[in-house]
Amino acid sequence: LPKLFPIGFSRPYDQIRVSVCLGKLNVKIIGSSAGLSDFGDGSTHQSVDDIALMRSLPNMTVLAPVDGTEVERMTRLIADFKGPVYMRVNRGDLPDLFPEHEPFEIGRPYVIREGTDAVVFAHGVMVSKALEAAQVLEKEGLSIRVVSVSTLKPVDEGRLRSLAADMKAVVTAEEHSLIGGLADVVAYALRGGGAPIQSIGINDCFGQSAHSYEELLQHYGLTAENVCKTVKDQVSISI
Amino acid sequence: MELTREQLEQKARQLRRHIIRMIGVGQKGHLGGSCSIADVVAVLYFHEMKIDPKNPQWQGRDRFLLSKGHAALAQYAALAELGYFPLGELDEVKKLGSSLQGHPDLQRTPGIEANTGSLGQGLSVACGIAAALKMDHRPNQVYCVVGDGELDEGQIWEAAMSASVYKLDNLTAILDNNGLMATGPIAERFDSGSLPEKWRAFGWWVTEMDGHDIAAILAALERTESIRGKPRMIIAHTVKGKGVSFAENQPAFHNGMLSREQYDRAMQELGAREGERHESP
Repeated sequence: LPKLFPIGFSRPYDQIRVSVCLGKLNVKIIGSSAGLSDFGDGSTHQSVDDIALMRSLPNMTVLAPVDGTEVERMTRLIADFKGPVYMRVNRGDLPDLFPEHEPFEIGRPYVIREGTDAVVFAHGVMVSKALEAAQVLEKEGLSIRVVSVSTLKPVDEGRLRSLAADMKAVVTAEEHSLIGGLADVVAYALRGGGAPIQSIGINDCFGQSAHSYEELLQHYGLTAENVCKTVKDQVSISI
Repeated sequence: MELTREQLEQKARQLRRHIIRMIGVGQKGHLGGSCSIADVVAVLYFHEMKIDPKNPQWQGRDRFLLSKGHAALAQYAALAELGYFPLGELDEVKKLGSSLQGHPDLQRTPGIEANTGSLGQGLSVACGIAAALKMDHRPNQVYCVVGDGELDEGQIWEAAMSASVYKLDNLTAILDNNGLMATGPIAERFDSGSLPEKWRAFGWWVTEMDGHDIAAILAALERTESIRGKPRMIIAHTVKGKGVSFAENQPAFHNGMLSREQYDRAMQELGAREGERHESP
């Protein structure tokens, strides 16, 4: 299991493409310090395009665990799984959210909280932000389903469609570019059916340095407040 | 700029004080690799290079590229001392929106020639600039500081070969040979073997020097001037964290955090005046 800085794998992209994916080799790649979590080092050391790059490779499985428990279960599973896998891991600890008694299965979205008015699809750190938002919105009379899409490829499109069915709004939230990540996964899976979709993510720009992780997340709108606002805006459009 | 050896030593100490000040208390910063190149940076910026701080894009300038971009603090200190931007901006380093990022950023900081920090790339950019200067028959020199841990990157050796193929005798690379990488001694992690032999085999003119002896640095740079037809490599034997006793040769200070006591002690050792020592960001 080679562990690489995400900056360390965008350089050997061609090697991953040709030597690993084309030959469908049994190689597991762990991208550490994913997203903006290496906040101090700035754009060179931050990865907001890794999911897009890895998703575009045939034969590649792409994973973004929600917490330490899921990292552990994923690691055990992919050690036995045959074929190339990319897993991105945050530099810091994330709140425990993975369902305690569930096994990890590739391709399965995990419902972290049930709700009936709107659904938020998220991965990584944004699942906890979505959960915070759902708790706030509950007090305002909105019931929000929060789903951790920890497999970005392959995607169970039918399952995503059923989780979005009968919702007034669909929101995606991710610590990654809006290009090539969860926003595209969900939009493509739903293919214009159902409720309007709005996406939160990094809008086609590089990261930068900051003195704290939270400060950076806030700068790029990766916050519970932004999830709240986006869900409310979407629900009001659909009503 | 004509500074005496003593004045250059003073400058290097000043650069180290700025480095410590930028790291401050309770935030991580690349102390080790920044302090190991402070003397080389001082000689290049305050003695060797033709530059115009008021006109960073001056066509007649010599170029400095920090391939080991994580040592940006040393370069920021020199640029601020020279007036590329106000000294006060050093307090903004790594703050959200700052012109001084964790690694050199050409879009944000005057005096930066390339975006480096993803190790291995700076030497290639330096080769490209040196080749372009030769095509334009310009006399300017290109200086590139490379880390010894950075030699693990394959791209370095591609650049090494192309610099030799294109006979880039306007390119001088200075290797910061402090022997340590972020996780420990290079010899135990990914041993690079005999560096002079390697670089000679790649077609470079090679010399070695004590990277903390100003007179030795001046002499080594002078020796490069007569070399024709080959790129020049100066292997600088350095101490990671040089000048801060408790950080010297400590991998933990590759990107470490200072306590209040350590900050004060570092500033004292670097000869800060009483008042200066107790200011902190």
